[in-house]
Amino acid sequence: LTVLWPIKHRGYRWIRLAVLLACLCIAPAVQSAEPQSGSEAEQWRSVTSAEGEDVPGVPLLIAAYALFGICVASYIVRLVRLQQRSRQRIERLAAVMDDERAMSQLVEAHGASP
Amino acid sequence: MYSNRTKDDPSRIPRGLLLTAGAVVLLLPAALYAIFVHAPVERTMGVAQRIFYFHVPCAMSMEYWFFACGLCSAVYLCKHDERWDAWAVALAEVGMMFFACVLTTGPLWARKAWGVWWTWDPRLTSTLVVGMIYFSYLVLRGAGGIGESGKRFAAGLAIVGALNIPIIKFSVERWRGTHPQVITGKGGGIHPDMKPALLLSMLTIVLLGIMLVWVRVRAERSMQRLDRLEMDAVDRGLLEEA
Repeated sequence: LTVLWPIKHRGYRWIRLAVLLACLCIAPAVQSAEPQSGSEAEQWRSVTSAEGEDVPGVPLLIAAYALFGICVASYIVRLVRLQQRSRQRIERLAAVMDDERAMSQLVEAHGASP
Repeated sequence: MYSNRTKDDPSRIPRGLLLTAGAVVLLLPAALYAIFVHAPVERTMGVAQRIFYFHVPCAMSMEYWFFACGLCSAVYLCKHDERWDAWAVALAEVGMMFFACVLTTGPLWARKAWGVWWTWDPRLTSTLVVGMIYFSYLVLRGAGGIGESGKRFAAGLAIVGALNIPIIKFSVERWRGTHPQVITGKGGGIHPDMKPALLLSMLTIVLLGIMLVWVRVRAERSMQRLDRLEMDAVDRGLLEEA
């Protein structure tokens, strides 16, 4: 300041000191007021309420009921598959029994063991 | 073949099962209407609170079916009757389905209520332990050709799981967890307009569970009969062993 303001009067020393302090206090405020080019996450933003911090409930609700439906539907599909597997086994056994019946009829007709 | 239909005939669908299925079909839309239209929005949780109406009945059903599985397994160990084994398997499977519902809907509730998907709360942890025990039971039962000793071992595992169920029930009271106790004795209760939705969903879930257990028991009994027939056919040389 002595260089910028070369007045060597004793009374001006306090004025120089006051200007210096004012510059030190105002500078950060001016700096923060300027728009920054960084991302939104780096900026301070004002909110009117706490809504911005809340977890949205609707997607959670939809997901919960959808997952419940998927669980029940998956189990019903499993039951249907079990029934189909049982039916296949019954058909296989029925085919074997038909063969056995045909064999026994053959044995009865010819009177001898096959 | 179908003229002599007896009570044990697998092809005959019992009237009780049809009535239960009909009740579920009628009650499900009524429960959904009560949950999404009639029940009011909760003040602190908002719309996400409606997860509660299916989450709680699923959790209760899971406990009932797992406990019943333990009882049936105990009877099976005492009597060596395959009928009880079929009931135990069916109850464990349906209980596991409800456990899956609880395990998937619970974290969605927790995200809204506590801000996290999962926390090692006593009730959550004890539920997870019981679920893992019955998962092990079903994996053991699903393993091919476990034989009679394997079935007995699995029955013992189911009894151990059933003994853990009271821990789920009393864990919140004993160990001060974060899990809410709204509808239990020490809870604050729910708004009167929320009660119809909860009662309807409870009734629906219980009847759905009964229907699924019934169907699964019939399927298991059919498979047990088929196993015996196939073994007989193999012994007589009519069928090749799989």
